[in-house]
This record gives sequence, C-alpha cells and structure tokens, in this order.
Amino acid sequence: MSEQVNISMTVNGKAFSGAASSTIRLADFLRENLHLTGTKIVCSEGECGACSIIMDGKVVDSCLILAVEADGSSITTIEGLPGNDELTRLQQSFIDHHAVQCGYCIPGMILTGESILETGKILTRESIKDELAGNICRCTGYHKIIDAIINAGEPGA
Amino acid sequence: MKYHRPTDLDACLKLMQEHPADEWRILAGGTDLLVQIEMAGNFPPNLIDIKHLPELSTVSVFEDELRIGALTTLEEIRQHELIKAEFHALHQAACQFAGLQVRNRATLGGNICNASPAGDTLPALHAFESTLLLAGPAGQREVSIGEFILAPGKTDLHPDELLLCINLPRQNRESDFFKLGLRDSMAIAVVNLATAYSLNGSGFKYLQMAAGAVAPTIVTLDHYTAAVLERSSVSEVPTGLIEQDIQPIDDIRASAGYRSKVLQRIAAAQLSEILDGDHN
Repeated sequence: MSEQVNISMTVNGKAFSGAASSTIRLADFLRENLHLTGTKIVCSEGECGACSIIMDGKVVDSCLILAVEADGSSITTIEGLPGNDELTRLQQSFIDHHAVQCGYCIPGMILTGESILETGKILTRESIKDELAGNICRCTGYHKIIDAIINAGEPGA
Repeated sequence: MKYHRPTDLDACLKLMQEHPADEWRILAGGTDLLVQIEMAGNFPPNLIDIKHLPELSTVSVFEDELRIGALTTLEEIRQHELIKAEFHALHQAACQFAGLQVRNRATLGGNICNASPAGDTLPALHAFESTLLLAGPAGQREVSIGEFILAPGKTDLHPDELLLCINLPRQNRESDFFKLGLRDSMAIAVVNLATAYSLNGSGFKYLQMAAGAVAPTIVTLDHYTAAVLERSSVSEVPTGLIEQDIQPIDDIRASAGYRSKVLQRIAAAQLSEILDGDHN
C-alpha cells in the first residue's frame, strides 16, 4: 500500500492542495487527478520528452518525478499557455510553419521551446538542436519545428 | 511506500539508521532511480528524498579547490562559468549529458553513486583527481573518486553514509573531453575520454587521461601517458600501450575490439590536436 501525502502546488497559475499517492508519477497525477491530458506519456524513461512540463522555471520530464516531489512547486503544462485562451508567439509560429503532424510530441516541443526562448540567448539551428535533444518527434523531421522556434525568437516576430 | 523529505543532514542520517539498508533508497534527481523502479515494477518500502538538504546544494569556490554539492544538477554544472573555465572537460561532459529535461534534474552526486562504467562525468572527475566528502553517523571522511567506485553499480559508500560534495583541486590544468556515442544526443557512451594536462613549451608537463566504458570502472591510461611524457612525443608512442590499462567488453553498443581500437585513435588524436595548438 502506498501512503497518501498532502501536497500543495501551483498549476497553471491556480493553487492546488490535496492528497497524492506517494508512488504516483507527476505525469500521471497531472493527467488523471487534475485532468490535464495535454501532457503525454510515451517512453516513461526520460528519452522522448512528450511529458515535458515547466517546473519552477525549468523544463523537466514529468514521468521521472513523483507528484510528492513537486510539493511546493509551480508548474506550467501546455494548458497553461498563455493563460487567457490566446496563443503564445511560439504556438502561433508552430502553426505558421506547419510544425505539427500527428501532434503527440508537440506539447513537449512547445514547452521546451518556450524554455529555450525564455533564456533570451541568441538562437542558432545548432543550439536549438542541442536544447531540443530530449524531445523526439517521429513525423516532422524537426526542420519545421526548428524553423518555428527560430522565428518566434526573432526580435519583433 | 513511505516518502521522507528530511530538511537537514542530521535528520537524514538518523532516518537512514532507523531502517535496515535494504528498506530504503535515496532519491536525488530521480532520473535513473525512477527508471529502475519503473522497470522493477515495485517501490522500496521507504524513499528518502534528499533534495531539501541545504548542505548538499551549493557550489563553493575556494582558493585551492572547487566544492560541488552532490545535488548540483548537470545543467547547473553546464552553466557554471568557473567550471567552464577551469574544469572544461567537466563542462563538456555536462553539455553532452542526456537532454535538457534530464540535465535539469540529474545530479552530479547521483551520476557518481550510480557508478556506471559509462557515466559521463566520471572520466573528467578522475582526470581532475577529485575527492568525495562522505558523511556518516561517525563523522565525515574523504576518498578519491578512484577509491570510491569499485565496480559497475558498486561504490565504497557505506549504507549509513551520504555523499555530500565533490572536491576538485584548482591546479590550472587545461582539459578536453570526448564522448563517442551511437549518435550525438541522448546516447550512452561507447567510449568516453577526459584528458587533463599542462604544457611545457612544445610538450606535456603534466598529463592525465581517464577513459570510461572500457573497463568495469573508469581507468587512467597510465602506461600510455607515462610513455608520452617520457618521450615528449605522441607520434612515436604506440597506442597499443593503452591495451594494458583497459578491459573492454562486448555489449549491445560495441565490441571489445572496437572499443579498444577507437579509444586508441581518440587518445592519439586528442593529444596531437592539443600539441598542434588547435584545442580551443
């Protein structure tokens, strides 16, 4: 039997407080308990990045974190962007560049992309490839995804 | 499973003593442990999350050494300016470590305690002659990384001890790291190699090479580097000497013969590049 632990966190700007099983992964907790199914689970071993979320400002794999470890943290999932039913510049850029095919990897791609843009560093195709190495896409071949991130990072884009 | 989250070191050590060692696991970044748990299909009775121990979380710069808290993440290491400048091979290893999501969680202490023969940070830590500070109920002790890692997955860490920090002596050494994987990103090393050195005119004054994934633990290429230092030459030293320092095996990533050959090529190429001066 796994223990129930009381946890509190901010998810997409809203405070959550409640019980979580000590063994449930954060990815499952977000999907099953909070019904935020935009976070996808594929490999369950930190290889594919489909479960990427932003936790306390850093992009992480939510399949490699227990919900109890997230106690006290602030989390953004794909549903939390940008917060008022509009698209972020990066989301619009993904649409403009047709950077989506089946879509399953896209929540993770967008959140990693947002965290890359957040650093404010000058982006090159090579640097984006490095930062995006933890997100696997099996349809688009990455070119359009990289185009979309580059474009969203350009001043005045 | 009971989840524990001690907030100071004494409380953590006490907790570890209260339960038999086979009834708990230490949880740091979790990027390896949670995969192991997922594969095994069951949790240990107790999980002790050490991420809230302030004693393990800081990087401190002293005049003669750098002290990296065991909980420092690989991304923090990658971004650290002094590590990039003075311990460049460790910076390079962090750059090639998994992907951003894993680097944001995975800790240096975890990479060491997992003691994988292919652990990406380990050759650099060997090449820089790092020591580890361990805390237990009887106090603290310091061991070299070479003494600490005993075999794949096996270390000298006693069941009631915790790794506090990794100490790197500041010896003004240049360094370089090379990782050969089956692809550039997210790959486990087929061979990895860290070289720390200082130059003396046209030759090496100091040279230390540490290789991973070619033996049960990281090995230093002592026969080879001694010959290079003695003859002040790279091209005249047979790379076959490296075979005396390694014990590679066949596995799903490469054969033993390939590992040996490729390490010999990488080692000689790395040293030649350094001497040709285009190592930046």
